[in-house]
Amino acid sequence: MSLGYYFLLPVIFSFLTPYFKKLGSFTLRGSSILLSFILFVQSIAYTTMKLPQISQFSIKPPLGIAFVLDGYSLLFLLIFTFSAVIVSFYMLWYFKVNPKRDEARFYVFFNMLIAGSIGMILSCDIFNLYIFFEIVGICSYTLSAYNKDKLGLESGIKYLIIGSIASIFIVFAIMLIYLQIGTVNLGLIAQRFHEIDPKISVLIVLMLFIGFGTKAELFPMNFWAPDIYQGSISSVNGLFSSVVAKAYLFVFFHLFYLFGLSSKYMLFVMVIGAITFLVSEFTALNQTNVKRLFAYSTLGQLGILFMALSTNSSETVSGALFHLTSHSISKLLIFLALGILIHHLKSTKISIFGDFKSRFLTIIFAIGFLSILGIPPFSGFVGKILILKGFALSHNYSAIAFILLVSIVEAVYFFRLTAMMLDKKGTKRVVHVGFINYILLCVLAALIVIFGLFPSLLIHYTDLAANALINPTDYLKFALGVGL
Amino acid sequence: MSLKKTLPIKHIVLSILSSALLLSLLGLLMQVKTDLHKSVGDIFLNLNMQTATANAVTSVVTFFRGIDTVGEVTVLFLATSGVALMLSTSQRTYAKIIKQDSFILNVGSRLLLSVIILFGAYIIIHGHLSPGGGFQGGVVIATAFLLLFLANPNMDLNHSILTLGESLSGSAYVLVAIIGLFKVNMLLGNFLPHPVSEIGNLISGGIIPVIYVIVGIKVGSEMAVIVEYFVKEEHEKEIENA
Amino acid sequence: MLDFFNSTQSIHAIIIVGSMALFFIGFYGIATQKNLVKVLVSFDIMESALFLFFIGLHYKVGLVAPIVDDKTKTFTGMVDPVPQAMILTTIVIGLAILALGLSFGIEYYKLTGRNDISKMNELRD
Repeated sequence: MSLGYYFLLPVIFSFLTPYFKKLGSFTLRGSSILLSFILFVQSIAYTTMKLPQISQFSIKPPLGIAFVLDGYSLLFLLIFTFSAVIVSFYMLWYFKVNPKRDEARFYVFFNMLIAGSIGMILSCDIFNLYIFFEIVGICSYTLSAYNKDKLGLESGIKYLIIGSIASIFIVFAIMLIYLQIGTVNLGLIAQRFHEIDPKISVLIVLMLFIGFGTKAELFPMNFWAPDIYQGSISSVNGLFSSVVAKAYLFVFFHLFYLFGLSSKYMLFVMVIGAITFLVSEFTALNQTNVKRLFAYSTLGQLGILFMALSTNSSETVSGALFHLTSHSISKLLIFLALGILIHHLKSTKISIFGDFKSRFLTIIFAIGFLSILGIPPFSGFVGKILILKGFALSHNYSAIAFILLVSIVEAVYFFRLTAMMLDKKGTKRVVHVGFINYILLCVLAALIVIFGLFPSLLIHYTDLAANALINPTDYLKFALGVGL
Repeated sequence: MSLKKTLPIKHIVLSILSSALLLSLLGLLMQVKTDLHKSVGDIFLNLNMQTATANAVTSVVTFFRGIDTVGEVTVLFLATSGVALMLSTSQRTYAKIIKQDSFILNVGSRLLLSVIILFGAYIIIHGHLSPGGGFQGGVVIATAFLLLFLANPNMDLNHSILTLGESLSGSAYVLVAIIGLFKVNMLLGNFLPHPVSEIGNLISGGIIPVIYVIVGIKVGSEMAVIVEYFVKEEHEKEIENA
Repeated sequence: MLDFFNSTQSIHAIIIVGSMALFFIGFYGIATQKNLVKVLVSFDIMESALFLFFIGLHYKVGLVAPIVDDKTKTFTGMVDPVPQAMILTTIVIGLAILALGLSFGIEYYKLTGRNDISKMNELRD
């Protein structure tokens, strides 16, 4: 299957959605599950093939646009399609308990959110990447306003305004790049980036930093993220945390290494990441809304990832990618379980963790929390220890001390939540988890444990990804269309 | 306190900040060199004869950077779905407006309707020969529907036809892209014959005019839906006020 | 005097100054306006400034639009077609975002009777 289908199939499914709806809700839901399954199985098939793979449109690159899949994008492709499968099954439950919702349009936006994120990681043309950026943008604005209540619409409007500012900066940067070097192909830009006048190249980098940094939830520009999480439904939160934020992160570091900015701006990104981590974890301490709490926790984890991914050493980057995968799975687990909890208890206050009685959900939440905290034997532990090992190998002991110290803050609120769940006092309501959700949460929890116990299963792919990220010669060869 | 009220301090600070930013940006942008490298557009101009399309912008939009246009059509489709999602629940419950519509306006708008649609179709079909194309023509067609709504607020568009137009044209576009993969081994490849000698004729350029017709139908129906939702919204508010 | 205005450099200078002034009018609008519709219009002003900037800087004196007709038989001496194609795409995207933003605004106004973005502060702890 050609890589182009990753975008074209969801598009055709979305265009035909009105007719699926006419055939009944079974067809509608089935089509979405089928689509995400096809994409996921295809992504697994790519793990056995020789990388990079390329799929060209109309004319050979560097003139035309192509989709290139290398080790780095393969890891993200697996994460995104896997999350899509899980969430598309989860929505079966959601629409059963909320039958009055506009189902068909949700699936349109859901499918295109995944397709747009995949397009962002595959495209090797910066203007094409901007189009996918806008597709993901429009889908996430609408999904965050999907509730159509006051909070939902407010978050949609806020997200739309912030997103428009970010996209204006990105368009400006793309225009300056085209004016300077006459191309929008990532390979050619990477080759010629040093020829740009240094002052203008600083301007371009600044604009790209503001544009993608805003969307990737970096510190000075991430004030909006908790609001968006608070206003939208839980499954969408899970998608934002495990797919959308990761897609923007991917683009941020892809451009960072391709344009050879790592030597100049490494310290800058590292410090910004550290500040993101510090500020988010401390703000998370006194949140009383669960969704905001987990939003801040997501921001904190993104801060660690920014610190570790900017280091330009393959050990740290590989560890960071491991941590990223584990974080995606854990946050998906937490947000999906949270959706069940919020549905039964009709509240988003933090006290709901003390108000429910369900041994299964308690275990699930505990696994998620401990994995994010980095406690063995869960996958978060392996990710964090690999990052710390990488920092130790490059003699960056201050970073190690910093991460460990701030992690204590993180531990405070996660242990507080766990203690609330284990507390036997007070009136507790029994929460029943449906059959589908039971299976889904078990799958996610099992993955966390498996990756924690047998990390080598995943380390193979993260090493591949880290090498492809830091040393993109293979990618450049394909993006430039050499020998096609 | 009183000083703060009389002097718009925030505005003054912001305007100073904006102008400072403006001046520094100007200083930088004046140094932009535009001819450092041969741009990809110049290469496209040289290659453009092979596509047998008289309008180079059209061949770039629909062929050389064709996947951009698929994405663009998708963005428009998503925006339409978003507008429909937002404005649709109360849509069905609105009462007919009592306001009597004017006979002259009604007949006049219907007269103009055919002319406007014909003009839009002309722009779409000649997209590969002259300035214009699917997007521009599609928007012109949507203005015809806007005119109908302005003249006759009680108008109802036939939704099933619009949905059919949207879905079929969108799917047809993707199908054209996929057929290219099988025929010329390239997604969105130009699989129809496009002899260079035909350049300037109405039937020339292979799939390029086909794509622009598809895009025209798509944009026309999407924009008509958006216009309808916004116009109906306006009337609903009038009823509430009455 | 007229020759001065007919040189590529002075045309570019005028376009840069004009478009950036327009850009910062939009910027000022976003920073100061509180009405959601005005904020969205400010975005459109900023985007238009960028379009003007990009298209304008690709014009050089003596070049014509990239369309062949009976007089010009070949594709030489024409302006770069790629920026125009890119701007066409960006315009449509801007339009889509504007329509979506307005529909959010309408729905929010129906629920709360407000369209002031500085008072949208119900999302907090």
